[in-house]
Amino acid sequence: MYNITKIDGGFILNDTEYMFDEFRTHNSISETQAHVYTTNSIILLDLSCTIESTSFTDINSFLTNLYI
Amino acid sequence: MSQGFTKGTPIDTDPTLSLNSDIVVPSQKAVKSYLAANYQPTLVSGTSIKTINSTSLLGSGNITINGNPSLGIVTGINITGTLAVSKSASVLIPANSITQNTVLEVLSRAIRVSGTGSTIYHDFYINTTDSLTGATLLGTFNPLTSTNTFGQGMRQLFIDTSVNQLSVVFSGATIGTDYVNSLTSTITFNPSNNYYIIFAVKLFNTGDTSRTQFGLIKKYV
Repeated sequence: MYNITKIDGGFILNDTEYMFDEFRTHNSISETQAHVYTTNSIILLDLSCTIESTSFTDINSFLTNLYI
Repeated sequence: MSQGFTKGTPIDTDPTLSLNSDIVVPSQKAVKSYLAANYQPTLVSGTSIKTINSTSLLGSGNITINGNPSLGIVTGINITGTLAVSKSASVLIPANSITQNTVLEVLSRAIRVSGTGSTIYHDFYINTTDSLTGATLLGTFNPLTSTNTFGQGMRQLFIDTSVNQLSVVFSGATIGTDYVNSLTSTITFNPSNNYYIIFAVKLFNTGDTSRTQFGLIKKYV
């Protein structure tokens, strides 16, 4: 299980820092997964990840929290 | 009786190899000079003859040379009963196996094992763990439409270890064979880490079954 740490304009996952693309693009690709577009790559995130140690059961809530 | 005596020493058995031939028989010296000029000294592995991957070439028998630069070829597991993007197969790129300006060529073929009427996506990712969670999408291949039984594609990954970067044609797009750098994206690649190339399948009907028929990674240096 990974924990995502939010930072200004992006997030840290597995000791790697990612910055959101300018449009904060993301696609829900299943009920539990999403593609999150960063400045130079597309990262697959899923509900096995926590955000700031908080778990989610809905991918849309997960994404909303990620971008807040 | 030996021929060609010189000062009492037979030139054909001269142990010093210093005496010249006479008009009757060649001297030991002459024989030595001839052999040195026309024959190679005994080969010494690693000294006078190179080795191949540290294997000596001396002696009888055969040495099989694997000319395939493959890092790995894998057959994936069947994916069914889920609409999530799912790992079908993966190939490990071991730490410290990538050198400057390495090109990895990735070939993938996904097949429809069963089921008709729905689309099947197949992509490939890279991650430092053998998991799709947190993986970076490297390529999206043309999906299998409802009538397709297989789909396949190829990508080249260019790795510049001097700046720890991997570049690939824009990861979210299907592509032709020709492209320019503006269509590529660059991600961090630390050659001291293990990496996994992960071949994934996404179904649009849980009743269908699909898998990576083969995933192949070739390394060019």
